[in-house]
Amino acid sequence: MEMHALSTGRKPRVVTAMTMLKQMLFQYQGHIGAALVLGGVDATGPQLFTIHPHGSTDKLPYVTMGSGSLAAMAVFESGWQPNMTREQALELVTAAISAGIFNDLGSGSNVDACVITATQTEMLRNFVKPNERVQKERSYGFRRGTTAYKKEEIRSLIISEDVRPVREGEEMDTT
Amino acid sequence: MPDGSFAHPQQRHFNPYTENGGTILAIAGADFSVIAGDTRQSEGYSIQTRYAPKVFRLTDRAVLAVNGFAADGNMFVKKVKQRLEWYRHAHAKDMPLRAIARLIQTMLYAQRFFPYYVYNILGGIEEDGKYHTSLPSYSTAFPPHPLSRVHWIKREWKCGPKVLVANTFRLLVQLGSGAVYSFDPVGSYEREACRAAGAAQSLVQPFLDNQIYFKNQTAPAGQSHPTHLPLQDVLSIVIDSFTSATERHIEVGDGLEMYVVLAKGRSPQGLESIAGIQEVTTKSDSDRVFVIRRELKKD
Amino acid sequence: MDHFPTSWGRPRNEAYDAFNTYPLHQRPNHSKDVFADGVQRTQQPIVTGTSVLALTYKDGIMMAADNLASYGSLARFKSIQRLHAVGNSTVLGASGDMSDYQYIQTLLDELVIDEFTANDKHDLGPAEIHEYLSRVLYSRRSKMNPLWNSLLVGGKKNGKRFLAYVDLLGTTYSASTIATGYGAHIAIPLLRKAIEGRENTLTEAEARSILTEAMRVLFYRDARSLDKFQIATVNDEGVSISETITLETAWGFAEGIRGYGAQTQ
Repeated sequence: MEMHALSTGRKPRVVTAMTMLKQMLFQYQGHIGAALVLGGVDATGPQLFTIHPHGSTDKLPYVTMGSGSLAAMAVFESGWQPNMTREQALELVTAAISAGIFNDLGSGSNVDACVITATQTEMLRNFVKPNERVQKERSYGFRRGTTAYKKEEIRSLIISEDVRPVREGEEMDTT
Repeated sequence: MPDGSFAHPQQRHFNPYTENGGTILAIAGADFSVIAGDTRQSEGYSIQTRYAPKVFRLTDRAVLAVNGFAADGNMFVKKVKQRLEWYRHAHAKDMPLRAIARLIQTMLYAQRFFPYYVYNILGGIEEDGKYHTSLPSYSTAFPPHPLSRVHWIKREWKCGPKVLVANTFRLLVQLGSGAVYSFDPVGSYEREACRAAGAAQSLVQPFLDNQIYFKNQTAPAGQSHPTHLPLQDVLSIVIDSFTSATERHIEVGDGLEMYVVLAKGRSPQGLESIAGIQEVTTKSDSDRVFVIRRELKKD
Repeated sequence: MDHFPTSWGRPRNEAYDAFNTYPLHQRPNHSKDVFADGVQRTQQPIVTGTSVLALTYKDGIMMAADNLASYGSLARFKSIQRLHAVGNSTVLGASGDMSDYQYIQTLLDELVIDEFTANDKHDLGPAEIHEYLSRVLYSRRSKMNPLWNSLLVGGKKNGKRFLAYVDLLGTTYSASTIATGYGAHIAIPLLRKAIEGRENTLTEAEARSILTEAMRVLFYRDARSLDKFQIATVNDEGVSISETITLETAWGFAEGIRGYGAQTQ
């Protein structure tokens, strides 16, 4: 992408990234098992793509991928509307990922989100953490000496040496 | 076939089995057993229900945990319960634990060539506990405790041509001992102190080996590890096993159901103070069964 | 021209047909005796129904299923009913093979008649119907001759609500909201979010609108579904199955879509 931007002297477009990705995935005939959602804002406006492992793509106003994609898409199908605000959109994607978290075993525990506007990209790592670890009943620290061993060998790592300067005033420059 | 021919008549094979996830475990104490399982039932990446019991009370001293293919598991439990009822009708008492274990092995092996795809763990109280010799006074000896045995001691002395005989007796009161039996789908079984089975067996069993059997732990000099842990410690280890399995295994979660079987005569130290505990014993003056339910993470 | 669909070849890889909706039945093979290998009985679904959805609400249970029976990817029958009242406190919803479902209906109707003629002040409630069906389906799977269905049984008897599932393997479970087929993947996330923890407060009107919304989303995404469906309710008044309802759908968003990549016109 960087090379493309340099050689054209323009800001790269989302379709360019999409085309490069689909060409690479198609070349590998599905052996690169990557299913991607690609989003961005460029000179032509905001857009979303899905890219399948074999290189096929789709361009839609709302997209999902992965094992939780059906759960997430169900939320989108019932909650999406055109021209949503940033807050509405963030709430909807969080609800969509949460649907996967609680109903699809292949989805993880926390929500990451990313907001892309014409001027900046905001990565919201662990945007929502609805599944914090619970406190254990016991502590599992082991007493010193718990692990059995067959032999003990202690080596000193300190090397002491005497340095005798050969000639005064000609020490190595160590600055 | 693209050419439209059916050179080989094709048949899509019907697979009569599936896996429904979840994990079970049981730990035997000196005079109690804890049998536990999570309550999630899943197929593939979908949660079918967040509450489907995998642990079942069979008698006042036996609890069975079943894991694997849920349809086989439910059918198997149904048939075991039926056999135990027939036993009650025939013998007017509950079947002893070791007999239930052997019954389960024959029932599983009977299906050797179309197995019940289930891993069973049976926990409860065995009638082989320590005999506790208590017998000083005549008044405490009668009426004898139902689990006691009268042990007659015959003493003989030779006194010239005569033989003097004196009979004394001691009353031996037996305390039931905690027991766990684990089975494979076709009936191989053994008695153990603890066992985990199911989806997260590979996560939980090493933890239990370390914490119950003290594997890879050397005791402090001059001391030895306890052979049995107290009930409170066992319950904590069970809860921690399931919260950890929930963290790292996708098929484990939603709820935890723990059954505690207490040997008759053991005081339920601290057990009543546990929040939400429920007693499910059917008879008085027998071993006692309790259920404790906990929430697990639902993701 | 060979008009037999089986001969046209299998359009998709097996892995993409997880729900086994494409019909491939055995054609008579005249090259050898069809009974040479013994009886062939393990079948596959031919005419199929898609998802059934159900939930519990304040006064009872509610169930929904569309009116389509598919023949592979062909929308073959567009006004069949997949919800069936059993006795007067139970409703059965079926997905999977429709001929197996109709056979199950005859079994149940027979069962209900036998129970009625006994005239012993006993009638079968939803729990008994579900137990019966689970035994029938489990015994058929154990004979390697399954009834190819996923069934939902719901009802209310003696003030107790009941909702449970049973499928071709004999697998059973119970929950406050259940769905079969694609519904388990698409509708369940919506239903659980709307129902869990509100089973005892949800009104009939709310329950109806939640189910309708889930049916709409299924119609958007399940290619074997239809926009015509029915809703069954079981409450203290008994069983009632609605007339066919037609979904209102909106496809306006599609107007602005151009192609799948760089296309602009």
